[in-house]
Amino acid sequence: MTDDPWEPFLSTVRTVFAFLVCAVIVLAALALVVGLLLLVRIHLRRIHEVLYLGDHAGVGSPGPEDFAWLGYHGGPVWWDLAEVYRRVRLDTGLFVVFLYPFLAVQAVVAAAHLALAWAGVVVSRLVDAALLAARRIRMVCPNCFEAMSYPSYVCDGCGRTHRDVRPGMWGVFRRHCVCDRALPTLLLLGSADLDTRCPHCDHALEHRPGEAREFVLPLFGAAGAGKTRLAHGLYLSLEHGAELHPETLSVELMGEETERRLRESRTVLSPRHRVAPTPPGRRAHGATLRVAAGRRTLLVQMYDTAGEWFNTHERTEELSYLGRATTFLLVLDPLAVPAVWEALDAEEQRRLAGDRSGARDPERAYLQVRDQVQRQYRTLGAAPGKGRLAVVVTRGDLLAGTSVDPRGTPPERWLDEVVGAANLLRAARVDFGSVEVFVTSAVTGPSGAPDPSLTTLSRWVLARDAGALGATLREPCDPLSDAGEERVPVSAGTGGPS
Amino acid sequence: MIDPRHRYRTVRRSTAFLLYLIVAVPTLMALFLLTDRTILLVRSVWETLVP
Repeated sequence: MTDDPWEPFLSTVRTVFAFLVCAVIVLAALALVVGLLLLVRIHLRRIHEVLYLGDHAGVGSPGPEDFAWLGYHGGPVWWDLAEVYRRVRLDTGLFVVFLYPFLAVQAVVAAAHLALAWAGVVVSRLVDAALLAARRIRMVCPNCFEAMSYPSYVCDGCGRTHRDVRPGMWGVFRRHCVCDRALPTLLLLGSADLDTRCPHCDHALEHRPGEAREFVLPLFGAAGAGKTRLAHGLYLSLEHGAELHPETLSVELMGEETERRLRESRTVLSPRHRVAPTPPGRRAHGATLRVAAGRRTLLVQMYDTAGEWFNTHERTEELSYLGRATTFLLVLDPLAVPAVWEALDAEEQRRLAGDRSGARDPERAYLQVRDQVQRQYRTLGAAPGKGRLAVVVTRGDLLAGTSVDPRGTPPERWLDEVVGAANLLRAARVDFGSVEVFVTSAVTGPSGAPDPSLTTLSRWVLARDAGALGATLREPCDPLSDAGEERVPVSAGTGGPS
Repeated sequence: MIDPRHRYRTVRRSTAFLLYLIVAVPTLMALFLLTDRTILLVRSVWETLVP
């Protein structure tokens, strides 16, 4: 056994040394813990101030040109992060480097928020665009004829017009006007409930564009051919169908302008009523009808433009709605055609002289419109030859009983042989995918029902783009069967201009 | 007009709660780990120096 006299001393020294080392370790650990807790407390306090209490008031304030508050993902999320970082750095100085991991985590949270919000923006826009495309809805302003990718909407709180409300940096599902009124960002979400304006010309659109398919229907022809009367007739034939079968068909005039033009249709179409010509200076404007059968709805935009607009290339060029249409009605006054007029005897000429329009050449308007349609189709990239043309011979009631009575002769043959429009028909067949000829009488019978020829024309007009609506007219609402018995045939002797 | 402090309130508060969790939980874990490692280190030092 060896007794080291230094052993107790060394043991004491080791113990003291160990104690000192352990004390240093514990103190260092404590310093780390306290430092970490202080830094984290500062960071959490700044997060609480900026994010929880919202003590960053100026963030996202709209500028003088803005109409809406930015969505949180449209900038404020980064501005809040920057504000937290600025305050933390002021409080901690160089020690801020220890908080970098946490600040990086906050940046990741902000980035995740952005990714989620913008994914929402993209998906909702895609869904909305896909639904519009699937329902083949294209929106056209009846005032300036421009196609709208989306209408502008008026805030119902302050009256500001929001040009493009679709999801974006101002909001995903809702945007907040500067007056703080929340507005839906998509048609899907109910934006059509707001007052609507054209984003190009700021014209008020009262037909709730985007909710149903739009059908552009241009009526063209020489001055005095009977376009206005035919427009009234088409409307009245639809309205008559709706009156007979209100449970299956409804027709509504959309907007004050349309109502002002078409509300008197029944009076206008009375045989003795003479329709004033459309003023040549009046700018074209689409009269919009909302035609619904069950769940199917169609917004029919009828363009009854003064015949003078089809005289020159420059004026026709302004009618850009022609390029948006696929169905066209060429309105033709047979009495104005010299061949028809000369075929009437002297007594008939004397009686019908007041109803004869001045335009002698129906081909002129046709060629102007055809050239313009082809030009606009090319510009828009639309397939040529996809259009349908109806050559509508008006004043059928006046021709009845005359030497050139079209009844009993197929309309095309009558147009070819009596009117001498073989060249016109040949050209039309080349230029349009489908051409039909109709002889119409835009008049009402004693019961107020429109002439069946108008229903036949309406049916054809709706056949391709809204077959279901056309079928509704055909089956239960056909005035030929429903009201025909009440109608007294309009004789040439009592007929007014049609 | 909405009080500016209340603008984006829902999304800001949700983010704040998320950040409380994201900052607090790792901090508590770090403290636990630090304490644990410190105890282990102290014990190791003590056992090495004071057999």
